[in-house]
Amino acid sequence: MSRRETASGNWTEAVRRRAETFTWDALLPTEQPVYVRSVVYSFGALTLGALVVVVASGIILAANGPFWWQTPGAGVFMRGIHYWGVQAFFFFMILHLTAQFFMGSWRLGRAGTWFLGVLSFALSVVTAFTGYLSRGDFFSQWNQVQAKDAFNGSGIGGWFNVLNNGQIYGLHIAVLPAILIAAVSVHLLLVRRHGVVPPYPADNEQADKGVLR
Amino acid sequence: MRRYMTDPAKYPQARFDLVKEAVISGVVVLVIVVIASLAFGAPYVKPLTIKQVASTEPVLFLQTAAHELDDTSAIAQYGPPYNNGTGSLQAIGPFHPQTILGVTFPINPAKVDVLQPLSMATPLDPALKPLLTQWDGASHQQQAAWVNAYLAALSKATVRGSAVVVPAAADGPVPAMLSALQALGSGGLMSGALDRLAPVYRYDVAPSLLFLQGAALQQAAQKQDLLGGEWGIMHDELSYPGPWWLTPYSALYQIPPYSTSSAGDLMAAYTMLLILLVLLAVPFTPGLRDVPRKLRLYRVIWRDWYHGVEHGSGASAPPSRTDRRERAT
Ligand code: HEM
Repeated sequence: MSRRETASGNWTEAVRRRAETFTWDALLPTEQPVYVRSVVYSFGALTLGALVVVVASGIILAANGPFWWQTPGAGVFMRGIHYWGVQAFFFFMILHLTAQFFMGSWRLGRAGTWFLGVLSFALSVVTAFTGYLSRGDFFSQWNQVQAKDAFNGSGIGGWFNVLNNGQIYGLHIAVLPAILIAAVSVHLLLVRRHGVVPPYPADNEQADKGVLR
Repeated sequence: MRRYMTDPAKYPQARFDLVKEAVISGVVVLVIVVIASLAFGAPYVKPLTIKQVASTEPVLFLQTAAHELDDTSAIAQYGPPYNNGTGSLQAIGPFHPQTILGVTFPINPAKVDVLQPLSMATPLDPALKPLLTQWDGASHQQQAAWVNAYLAALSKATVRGSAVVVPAAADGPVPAMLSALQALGSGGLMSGALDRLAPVYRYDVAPSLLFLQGAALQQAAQKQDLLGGEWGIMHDELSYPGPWWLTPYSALYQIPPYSTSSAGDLMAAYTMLLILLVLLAVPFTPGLRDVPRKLRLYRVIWRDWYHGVEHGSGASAPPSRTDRRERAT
């Protein structure tokens, strides 16, 4: 067997072995350690719930188009769902982020989970921003002309043209959500893979470096 | 390592229904959101149109058009990505990322905003043709002199409704050209004449927005306290909660050097990038990663657990480290 074959064999095999660790029981556990007992553990799930509401209402908005969501009635109601869903999403995400920080949840090999969380947050901000630009009202116009200076000044305005509704809308309804959903999915898989982070040692317990950091 | 983390000997397990958890979370959010949407609706403020500006703010319209015509508007001198000007070029010393991608969305305001719409209107008003020929045939100096004379006369104009009477001046074809443009604007034809960068997909509204931002949008925004130095984007939605998650970014614009420098946007963007990198690096940054351990807020979150461990209710007390190592091997 040539070296190359071995290498590629190892690569595909590694993927397969990785996949095998995600059994249904790992993805949907029936048990959790006893320390998993606090409202803060719901913040992540509530963030995810809000994301589902936002994506679902967004799909309905996109299916019906801009005139629909600017017309009083069902369209404006659905835009309300999308809008308040985003408010809830950020509200719970910031609670979640803050709680995970205070729990030091990156400990014991969970830096990747933290990393993808922060990335999801940043992506969410950009996605929400393109949403504001896509509403098609005075605020959209004003934010477009204001934001162009920020985007141009920082160097990406030459590509990210906030005055081009086609580009902004495409980014908002397809490109950015796809990336965000991918990031959140990996975030969740990592959470399942590592299990919930154990508490810092108790005061009468001997400290172990890993648990500390 | 992984075995340690989920080690049931160190951390006793309890029954847990993730599906139930997920369903409850989803329903809770949905209920909150439906109630909020029914009670408060969604924010919407009618967009500003060129038609509106041309008919209700005619002098502002004519001023804006005059500046576009002789290339003295902010956009005509902006810089990348619209042209090679330096008017809005942001730089910190030799660092000006704005120039890296170059002029990717070239726009010539005099042509796009004034000359092209007028020439499109010549079939409707043949009298426009000699005016445009006169303008095109004049030297740049002559054009600038006309526009300056016109702007001076415009400041003494009398306004009746949407009709502006500009006193006579040495302003060549300019008053007739711009009054025709205003007619086009107040009739509602102008944005259609402007936003035609592509024949079919007219999604790029740069020309009409850049025309409006000349002054009209700025004025309308000022009336609602939406300027950047007044936490603009935060009370964006009037009585609605705006994008409050941008608070740290918005806050930068309230303090020097961000609030005072002409490169404020550039500095704010890179400051945010730096904050993002710091957040990403928390797990690897000594000092920063120790903050939660020192703050001890985790003891509130896991209070039941610590109570069990420290006051010895047998079940949740962890076995010693050596136990754990033996198990893992
Ligand atoms: C799109 C946004 C996000 C969603 C949907 C999401 C969802 C979740 C869920 C469902 C969990 C497991 C349950 C829990 O502990 O709450 C979790 C865990 C976690 N999240 Fe997020 N999250 C998001 C953003 C973030 C952000 C912004 C951060 C931090 C900057 C973050 C850091 C973490 C960490 C470190 C864990 C692991 C906790 C552990 O191992 O015990 N997440 N996330």
